[in-house]
Amino acid sequence: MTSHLPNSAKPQFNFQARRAFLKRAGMGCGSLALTSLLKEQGLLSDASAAETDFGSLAPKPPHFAPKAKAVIWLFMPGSPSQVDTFDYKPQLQKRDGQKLNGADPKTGFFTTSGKVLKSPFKFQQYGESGAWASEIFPHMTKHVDDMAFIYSCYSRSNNHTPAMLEMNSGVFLQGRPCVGSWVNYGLGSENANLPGFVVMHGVKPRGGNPIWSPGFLPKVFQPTAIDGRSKTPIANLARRTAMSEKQQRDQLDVLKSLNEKHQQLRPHEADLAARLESFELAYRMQTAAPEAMDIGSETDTTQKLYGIDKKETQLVARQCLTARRLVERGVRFVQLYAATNGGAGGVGDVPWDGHGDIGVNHRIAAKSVDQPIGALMADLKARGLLESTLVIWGGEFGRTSDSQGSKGRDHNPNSFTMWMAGAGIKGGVQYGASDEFGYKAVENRVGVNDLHATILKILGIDHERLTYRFNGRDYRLTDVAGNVIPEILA
Amino acid sequence: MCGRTTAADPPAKLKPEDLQFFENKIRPVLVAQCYKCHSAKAQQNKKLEGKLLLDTREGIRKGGESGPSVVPGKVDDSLLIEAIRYESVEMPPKSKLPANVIADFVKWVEMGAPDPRDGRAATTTEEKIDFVAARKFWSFQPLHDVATPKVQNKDWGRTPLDQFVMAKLEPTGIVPNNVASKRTLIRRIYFDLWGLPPEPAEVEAFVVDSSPDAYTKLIDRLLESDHYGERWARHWLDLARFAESNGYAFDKDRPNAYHYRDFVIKALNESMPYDRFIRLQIAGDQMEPASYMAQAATGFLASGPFTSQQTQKERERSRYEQLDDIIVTIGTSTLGLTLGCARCHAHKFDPVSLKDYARMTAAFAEVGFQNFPHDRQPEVFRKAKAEFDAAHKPLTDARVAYESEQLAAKFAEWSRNRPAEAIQPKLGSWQVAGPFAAADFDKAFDQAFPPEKKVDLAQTFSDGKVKWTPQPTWADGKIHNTLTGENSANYLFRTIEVPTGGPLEISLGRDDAIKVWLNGKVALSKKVAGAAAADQDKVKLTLKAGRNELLLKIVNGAGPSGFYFKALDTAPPKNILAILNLPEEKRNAKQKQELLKWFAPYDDGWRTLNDAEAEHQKSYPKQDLVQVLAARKGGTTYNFGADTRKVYFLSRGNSNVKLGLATPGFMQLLMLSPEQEKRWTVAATTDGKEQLKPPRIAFADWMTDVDQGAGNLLARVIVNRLWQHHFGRGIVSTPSDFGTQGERPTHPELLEYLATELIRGGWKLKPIHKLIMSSSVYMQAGLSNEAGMQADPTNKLWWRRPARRMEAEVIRDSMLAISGTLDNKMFGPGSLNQQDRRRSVYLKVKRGTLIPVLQLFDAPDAMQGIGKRTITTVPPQALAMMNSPFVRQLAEKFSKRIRPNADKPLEQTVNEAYAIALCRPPTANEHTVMLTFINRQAESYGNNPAATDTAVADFCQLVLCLNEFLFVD
Repeated sequence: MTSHLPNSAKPQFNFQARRAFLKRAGMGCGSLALTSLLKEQGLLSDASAAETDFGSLAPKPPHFAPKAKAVIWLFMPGSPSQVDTFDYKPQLQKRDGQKLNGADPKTGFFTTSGKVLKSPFKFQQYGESGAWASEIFPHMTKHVDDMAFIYSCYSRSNNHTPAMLEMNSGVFLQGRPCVGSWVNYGLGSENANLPGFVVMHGVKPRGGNPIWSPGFLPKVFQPTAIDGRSKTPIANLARRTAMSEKQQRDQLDVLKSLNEKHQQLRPHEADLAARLESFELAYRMQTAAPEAMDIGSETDTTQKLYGIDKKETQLVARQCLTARRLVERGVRFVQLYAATNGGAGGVGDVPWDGHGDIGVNHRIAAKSVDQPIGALMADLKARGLLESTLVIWGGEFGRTSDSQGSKGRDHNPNSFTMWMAGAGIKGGVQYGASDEFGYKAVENRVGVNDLHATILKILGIDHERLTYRFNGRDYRLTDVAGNVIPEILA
Repeated sequence: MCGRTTAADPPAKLKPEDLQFFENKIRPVLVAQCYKCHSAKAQQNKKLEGKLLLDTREGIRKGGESGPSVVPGKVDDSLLIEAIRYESVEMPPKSKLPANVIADFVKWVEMGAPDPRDGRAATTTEEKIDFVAARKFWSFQPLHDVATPKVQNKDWGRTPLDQFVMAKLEPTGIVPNNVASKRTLIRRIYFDLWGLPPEPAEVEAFVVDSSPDAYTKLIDRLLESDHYGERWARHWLDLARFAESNGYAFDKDRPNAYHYRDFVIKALNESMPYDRFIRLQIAGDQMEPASYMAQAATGFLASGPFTSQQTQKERERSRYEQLDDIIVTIGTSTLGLTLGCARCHAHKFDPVSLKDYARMTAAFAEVGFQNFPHDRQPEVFRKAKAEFDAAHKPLTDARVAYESEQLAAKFAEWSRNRPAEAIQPKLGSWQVAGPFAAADFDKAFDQAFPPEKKVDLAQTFSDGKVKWTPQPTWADGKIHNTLTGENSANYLFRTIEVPTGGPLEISLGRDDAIKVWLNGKVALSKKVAGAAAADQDKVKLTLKAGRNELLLKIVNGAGPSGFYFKALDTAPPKNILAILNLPEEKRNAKQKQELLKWFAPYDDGWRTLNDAEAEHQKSYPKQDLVQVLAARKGGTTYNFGADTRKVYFLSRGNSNVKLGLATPGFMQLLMLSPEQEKRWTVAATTDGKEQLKPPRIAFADWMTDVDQGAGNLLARVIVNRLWQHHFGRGIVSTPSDFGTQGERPTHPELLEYLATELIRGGWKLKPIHKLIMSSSVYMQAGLSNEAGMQADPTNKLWWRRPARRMEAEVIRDSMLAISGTLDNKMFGPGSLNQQDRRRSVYLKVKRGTLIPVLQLFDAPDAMQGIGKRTITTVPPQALAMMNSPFVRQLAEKFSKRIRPNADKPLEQTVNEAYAIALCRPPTANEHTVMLTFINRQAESYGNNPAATDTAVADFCQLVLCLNEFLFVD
């Protein structure tokens, strides 16, 4: 693995130790080619490969050469309006207040007017690719030539929680594994001292923890959820204050020697060895994780670039900067629920939910994410990390082209825009289209399964081959659907 | 329109311009956009969707599973048009066709859909399943009688089970282990049956008990303990995706859901036969509606997730999801079948058809959920009720006697004097006197101040400070909040004059309490608190001719005080008036009754008796009710109108595309009866008419029917689960999949033997536990050897007993037990706090807020049933053991338990820690290592008594971290 870290910051990672950990743990059936890796080393017979049934975070070879090693997913809870951000529709301006043909007033959560609502924002084209965007993203739009826009997304629920579940797991029900868990199940983690899947949030998005559940996958693939506002974001990471590092080390040394003796009498119990090793990993995590999260060690310039010094941007700035530090250290999947201060009409758990006044709401919500995301893009690029990191931006659905009340927009699962950038993405691409009002996706429609198939492809995984057997059925992230979108791939 | 074009129309009739239109505008689009999934070729390639063929005229008109695709001349009836307009299903799925192309199709349909394409649409009937062949699969066959096999080694085995195991081992030459040490055995069976460690005294007693039945006595004792149910209930609750909240966005609590958990524990402890255990969970509310256990059992159906925030569009879909959850959970937990696969298509691997799925779902179409009120002390209530009834009867009798003997006469008297027109009573102005203060509110209400005894408007009170004051401006029908005084009474007085006596109803409001007298007789007395509003009380008065005196007492606690008054119409209501206007002889008996019923409240005599009765009614005994979340026909669910309690056959599980109503039925595969489902659905046939059972009862009957239903599979699945939890792996290693995709049994005959034994023994589980635990294969040691590892590395043949990590709940419970803080209180609502001291099975399962320490050690998330937990080993578990306040506190309590004061020698402390946590004394080396550790830590903490305490706690925490503690040999 190539590291983008200066030598001093390299994770304390001992390849031999990990290999030994793996070897003794006898890990993971179903985990892609891991079993073949072990068989190749003569560590696992065919029979025992099928027999062991716990997962592992150890790195596993992909199906084919990956374009990206890591993912940063910038989730905009509550859902930005496509027609007020990136999906420019001149017809909305022209036909403001007129009847919207074919409008279904029950498209969203409430009832809409059926009358066209123009965007309160000015639009212009940016970059060489000429992508349209509204005025609310002055920083993000500097990077449109790195982004592939998908204007024809759709999902299947008009309600936040089910729609978030679908966006993360492909199914609008609780209990299915989310994409971050699937990716870690498929590929493992590159840094044994850090979690492989990190979720960052402020106020939890509606639906709470189950939104990022590992579902029926082994719990090893569940994310470490970090509350950006908390002083101790990772549970149990800090040693009791009364105990010194040496006192704990002494305690663990005795533990280790006794556990080793216990294990020598039980040479074929793989779980015992794995647990023995887990204490050592935990001990190292106590140092590695705070180091990874320590944005105070970044230069003032970098902190300012993200907007940590400003009240309206500091929450998302911390999230974005932490995200960069995590992928830099080999964290596989970072999902960031943009913690805005809550726009007007949008509440903390769904800040983009502009039911009342889309203009007021989106200005506030955009303000809190624009500079940090623009900075993240610039920073990743400057450090060469964009070459190995896939960045994804979007909400759980779109918003109606007709008004709710006089100035608001309701939920609309039939049309929304997402963008992807970085590793594996052909920058400057504009893919798919919604109708002339942005109300329904009509050309080259992209469902959530298609998004997932594409993301997995970029990570080197064939979405049809990444399966997990549960209750007698082989499950996939993409269920029985999903097509990779080759047009946006580099 | 006559002459409607049909599929048989020969293309010769096509006009050249129609043909040209089709060839230019329609065919190219069909070929490019539709044929990939809707053509004979697609069918060949197994890519056909929706059974819809668009490559022939016949196909396009016949349509697919949703109905005709094109109806010539009828745009609105043509699903094809609906689909390309993206109005229902959205076709083609990738991109909507351009508007001009859609217009062409509309025009084409309007033209009569001229179509030259010949060829017959291939028949696309539902995939036929050959059930006779399918039933030959091992798990779908009836149970076989199996003979215990002959084996060479006669010394090793103790039970017939061992012969089945030995018969497989002998050909391989592997020699299984001998029995494990007594210390290992007692630890093993305690964790197995109770999920708790044995106390040191129990270990020592067992070690020294040399009687031949020491071991079986121990098993019996453990099986008879309530801890057995607490431990094994958790296995079942995993399968039942048991939770006490809705899940989804608001994750609303289900405060009455814990009864299901209690039911499972109780059922296991009382050794309820397993078939009954299942039957109650499917239909207990209908089988035995008065039984707590039966009602609570249906929590099984109610346990699934439910979203309380719903858009209108989601409700029907959510209902089908809810029913799917029920059917899928039943399938995996009881029959080991993945029924959910048949929701969208015939099961790819198992013989379950779409039709089976829909019909099984239909058996639950009427089900909803509701709280069932259960009386915890029915005897107490029965007794109190009898006493009440005895005291109440004379009062009722007196009133009834008055009604039959005197009321008619009173009415007649009133009727004689009744004026022809409605009387307008003349109401005098209010006079008010007050406030009269008392020590408190109650006393102000109870105390009879002077006006109460006699109203004399000239009288003054409290040395002249209080006197009667006229209030001529107080209008009726308004709230007057002008009274003053706290813990005080105000009296209001007015006269009511009428020329002849008769009824008058008045409407009142009060802040706070009120008493009313008419002519000195109490008409209302209500001790309440709250603001005044219109119409809080209505009182029926009987006025005498001439002057009547009305007195109100308003009693105030604190804050503002006031009242409301309105005299209602004196005219009787219309229906009564109509009867009154009839000549007396023309009134029928019913009408006379109605008159008396209306009149009674205005009659003083009747009212006195009635008030006495009503007053006594207040002492009606209270039942000790507790609400139980249970299934109920017509209970609460997602409501979307007329179809709420119906189940339709759906196209690919899509509730927008219905293919006819489904009636309740079962899996054809597991119906060996010639009369098919009627064997279970029909309760009786009278006069040639079939009376149907409630569908869920029929379903339960089918499931547990050993002769012709699903009973054999039911038995196989549960004995396999018992084996699985005793050994760490089932005889079938996919315990929730006994279908063709599941693993085959390693010892099929052993499974048959156990299932047969279960049924033979009346479906009781405890004897099967005992049988398994008495076997040599269960009792053997864990040692491995090279020969065994070579021939059978994964121990499929059970030649050794591998060590197993405890489950999450067992880890937590054991730490509580060892630290001496475990609270053994059973049942009832649970806590969400992981530091609670009760067993983990009593912690609340809230879907959005799972218990951190349990989650860490792989407890399920209660979204879907789980038959086999994954066991993971990850650093966060180690971090929790090392650093969490929860574990540290338990370690400190543990240290206090073994060393309550500084006098206790550390040598002994170490010995006791080992005895309590590991069921054995430490070796000499361990003893030295641990003592050295304690002393070194104590020194580093400052070498004082507090430092030694901390060091001992460090040692105790270390013991809790040992693999030996967390793993059971």
